[in-house]
Amino acid sequence: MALRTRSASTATSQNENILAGKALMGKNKMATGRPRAALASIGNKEANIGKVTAKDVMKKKTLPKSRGTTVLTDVPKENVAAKKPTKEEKTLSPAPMEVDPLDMTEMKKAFSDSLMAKVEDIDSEDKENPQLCTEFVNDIYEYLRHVERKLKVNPSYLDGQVINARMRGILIDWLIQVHLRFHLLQETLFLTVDIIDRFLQSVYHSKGQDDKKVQSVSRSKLQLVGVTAMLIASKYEEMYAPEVADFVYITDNAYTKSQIRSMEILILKNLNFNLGKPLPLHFLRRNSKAGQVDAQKHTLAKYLMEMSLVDYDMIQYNPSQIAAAALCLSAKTLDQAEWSPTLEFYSTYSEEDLLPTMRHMAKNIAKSSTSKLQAVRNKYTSSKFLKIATIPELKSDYIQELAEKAS
Amino acid sequence: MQKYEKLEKIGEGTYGTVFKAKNKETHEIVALKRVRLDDDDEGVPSSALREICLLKELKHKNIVRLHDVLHSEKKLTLVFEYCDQDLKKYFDSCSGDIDPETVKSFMYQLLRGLAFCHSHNVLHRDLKPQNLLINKNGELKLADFGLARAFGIPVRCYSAEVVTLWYRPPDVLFGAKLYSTSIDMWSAGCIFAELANAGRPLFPGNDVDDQLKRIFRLLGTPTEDTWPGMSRLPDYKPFPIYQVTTSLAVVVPKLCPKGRDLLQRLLVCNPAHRLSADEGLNHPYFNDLSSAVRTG
Repeated sequence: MALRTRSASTATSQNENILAGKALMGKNKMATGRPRAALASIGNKEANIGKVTAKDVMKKKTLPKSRGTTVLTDVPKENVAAKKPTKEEKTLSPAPMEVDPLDMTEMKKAFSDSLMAKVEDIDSEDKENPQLCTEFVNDIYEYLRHVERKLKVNPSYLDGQVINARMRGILIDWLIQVHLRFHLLQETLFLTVDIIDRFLQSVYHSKGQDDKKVQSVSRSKLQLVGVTAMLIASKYEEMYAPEVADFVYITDNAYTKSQIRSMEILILKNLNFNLGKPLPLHFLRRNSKAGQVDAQKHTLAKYLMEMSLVDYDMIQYNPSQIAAAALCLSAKTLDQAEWSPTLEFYSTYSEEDLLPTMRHMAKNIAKSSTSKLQAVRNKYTSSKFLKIATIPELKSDYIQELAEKAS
Repeated sequence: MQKYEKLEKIGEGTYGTVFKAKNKETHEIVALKRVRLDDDDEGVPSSALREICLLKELKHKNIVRLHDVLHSEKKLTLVFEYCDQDLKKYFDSCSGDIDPETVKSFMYQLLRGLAFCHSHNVLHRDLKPQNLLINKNGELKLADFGLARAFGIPVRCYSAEVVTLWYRPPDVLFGAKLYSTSIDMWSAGCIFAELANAGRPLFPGNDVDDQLKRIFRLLGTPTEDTWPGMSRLPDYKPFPIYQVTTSLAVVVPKLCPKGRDLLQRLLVCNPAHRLSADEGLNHPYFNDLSSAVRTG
């Protein structure tokens, strides 16, 4: 709908991109060597990224039929063992509601006076720049930290569900490719994954409350949840969201438009229309400013964050924690940089707080070349992302040692 | 739907029709906004989706309260608290005169609602008298968040086609796509002047050009000195250099000098120099605000 209301020129080019993206996915359907059907039907080869030609667009019509979502139903049961429930109850409990979300004094108290003296006011030179909202910026981040605690996903929410961590990983890996082809904003991707997790959690926990409702998501519906989550995230974040038909197309007609619309209502209802979850990206921008980091460090941090999306075990960490750990690990990997008092203050995490998350991220990097989920790694080998996935520093002893300490 | 009895149609929102209705059990009067979900379309409109999601988070006495969302296959119904009228209708009913205390009270409540939005990561983006609701206790509430959205920091490029022309700031008129809380502050300034003049719009332009001319004639044409970067905005074009000839005392004769000072600080072409909602609330104009409004 949105596409139609735009000026002719942009609408055309955008449409071409979307169609070309689809065609590309169709074309490379078999590129992985074994048919993995819809969820894995996109060619994972980096060489294909961005090489969209008119010929690809034309091939749209000869798109081979996908076998729908069979991959999800074919997942062997043993993989359920992939995750073990952790007993970290304290991360489960939501923030007490009586806490004033805008009260910065508690946070400042945690800092001794001597440490405070080393913290720079990172906004002092930006009063002239309205885009940076300096008057409200600290209030806003305090509020975002309050909301992320309130909307925390239970890190073992998949226990006892039909869907397991591996299926979740395959779905998100595929959505990362869809996201790239649709040229959507980074926020949309992170929000999509958050919607999926909160929805799957809500479905499980509402079991028995309403007999008529879907009580758990079957494997065959997981991809429907995935594309619908991306539709909702796009409507929330994008200026021009893709159409429902685009999502039907991308699943190769595995679902109808009306199934997607029904799922949309179900998801929104289960999430209580709450889409305002803070994303790691929001915190990373603040941290990158506080650390005055360069594009390479910022990009590596984004790579680490995106890699966390496919990893179910990372759900235990809050978005602000993921963002801080990603930047800390990035800075240490690239030039052994210190996690300064300024970074500690604005991120609210000390290096020690971040160590478990950083180890986890290091583990993901260490096994990235052999992982079956390659979408993020492929994406970040392109020059648009500074080929950050290929830099030698990611094979350093530092990363290896950190990875070995991961629990 | 049986929970509410429809009483009368109140109007049309950004999307869907608005009805006055009564809760059959509690007899509470509410406003129902109905969003049709037709078979052939894109599902929930993004404006409705954003409005619901933002209003669920924004619970404040100066922001209209969203009580509930009812959904069926064919439609969504948003249940809002009911307010007697909007500011535009209020203007029509007060026949050219609003006492200075009421102007001050409304302006304070507008800024307080805005400060809450802005500190909660939300830009309203469509402030105008029709979107400010007034109830019979003289409480003012920001409504119609159909164009509102949560912003990241730094604020991303958002659609430049926002804010009704008369309340649109010069930076957005020049096609600026990066904007921030300052967008709402300009609109607040325009509404302040309109309040002080009991409903006469400050800049009732016919098109973008006319709108900018009206603004520059009153405030003087900005220059690269007063507004660095202005000429690099996407739709920038040079305008005649108007000098400030009319004092605000002529434009808003009934407004006291402190009030004129506040207005002057809101109506600043360069968005970087526009007052923030928090700063506005602390302006001396509000020193003698009645404590009932301040705490109410």
